[in-house]
Amino acid sequence: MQPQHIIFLILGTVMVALLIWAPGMEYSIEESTLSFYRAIDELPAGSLVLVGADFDVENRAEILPQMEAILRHLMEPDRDLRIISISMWDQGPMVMDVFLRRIGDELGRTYGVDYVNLGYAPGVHTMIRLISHDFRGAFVRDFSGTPLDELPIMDEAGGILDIPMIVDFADRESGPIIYLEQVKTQNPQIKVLASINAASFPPLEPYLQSGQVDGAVVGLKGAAEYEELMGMEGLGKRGMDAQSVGQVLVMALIIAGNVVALIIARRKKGRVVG
Amino acid sequence: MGTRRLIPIIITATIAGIIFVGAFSGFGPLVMFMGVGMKWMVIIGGVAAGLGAVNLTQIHGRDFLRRRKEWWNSLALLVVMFGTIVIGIAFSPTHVIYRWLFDWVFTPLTTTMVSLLAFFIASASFRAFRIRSLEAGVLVGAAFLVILGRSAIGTEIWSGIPVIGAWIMDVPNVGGSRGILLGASLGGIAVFLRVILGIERGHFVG
Repeated sequence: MQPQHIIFLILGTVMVALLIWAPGMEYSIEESTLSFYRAIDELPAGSLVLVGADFDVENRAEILPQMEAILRHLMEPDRDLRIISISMWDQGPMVMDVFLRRIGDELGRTYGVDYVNLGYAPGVHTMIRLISHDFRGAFVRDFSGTPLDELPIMDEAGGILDIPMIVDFADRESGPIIYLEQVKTQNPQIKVLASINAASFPPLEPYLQSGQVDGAVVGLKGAAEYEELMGMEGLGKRGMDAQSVGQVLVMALIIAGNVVALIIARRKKGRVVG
Repeated sequence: MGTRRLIPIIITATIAGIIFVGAFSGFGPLVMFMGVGMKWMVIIGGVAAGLGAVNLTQIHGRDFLRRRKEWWNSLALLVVMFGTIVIGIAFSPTHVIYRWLFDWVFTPLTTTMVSLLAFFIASASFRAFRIRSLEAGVLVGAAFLVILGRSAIGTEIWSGIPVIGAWIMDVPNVGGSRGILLGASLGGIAVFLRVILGIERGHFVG
């Protein structure tokens, strides 16, 4: 067994143990997560919300805990918000469909009336621009093949410009940025919220600081924070405990490696001088 | 310049020019043309996916038929690709068989690949964070502060760590990101002008 295999074994064991044990660490809640939560809270009852499913399943470890907490917030029956979900990339709708239907059933929401999944349409920037005034510009049927005319929620939904809030679940910064470029430039009143994986967040931060993005839930920590705000116990908190300890373990190994390298270098130097 | 090159350049310049002027002027007929052009682009985007499948079939079909090295990988790719396409078209992406393939074949495979990153990152950071110079020391220090600042353990060690971690993300990170964004945007405008003026012709080759 090579030394790196021992490190991998320790790392894997620690992370799996913490996922099972879940000690329940406490996290400070970031301002961006609070802004995200408040924006949904302040949305008038009965409003339409566009939910983007702009992620690939490979990033599900971060995105799914975020989706679980945020969709529960959006679909609370008292809030009476109506959801239209679309996707600029092809894998998101498969996952979004399962989540919307499961949470919708649990919370007594009706498909086609309270929420709908229109699925994927190609074109990325162009597709979003096309549905500015009418969703029928790019979508004829929903993800299950039902014509839009048979879905009551689509009767009152014109295009994206008529919707007051966009919540984008994305694993690349280009998802929310496309909504800013193609939608918010046409109607600055529309709130754009980003629920994004941690690796994609740094390029999005300038947009958050400038106020163009109105709130952001970032990575597994964001999911854990949102669960805290929702009073939930979910995969976000559990995963964040494992991730935190895993990161500290890697840092400890880096420090140890540097100390050992320094000692070896000094010994070699001593031998040369001697 | 031959006609084969000139015609695509004229088409590109005309359509890009109309859309550019239409977007800035809001002139009715041009805006209407923009709408039609955008619909074409969505359709072309859909067709491009099909073109990709044709290209894959040509390359891997040839490899399989000529029994080139590791031809069985090409065969596996073709069987899986056409199997998924046929099931998706014959039924629908919400059908139980397609769903099963997505949930129990595609998802576990892709997530496993990404999960392995945890181990690669551990190994790579071990090599990347060798402190051999002042710059490397600053990089390691900044990385540690950001990581600790975003975890519960950082707060437990010292309440100032999340503040410093947030400052690194909000000031140096945002400053750098803005610089890259501005540079990339200026580059994008330059490429746009080169394409519509016919100076950039790399996309005609191949």
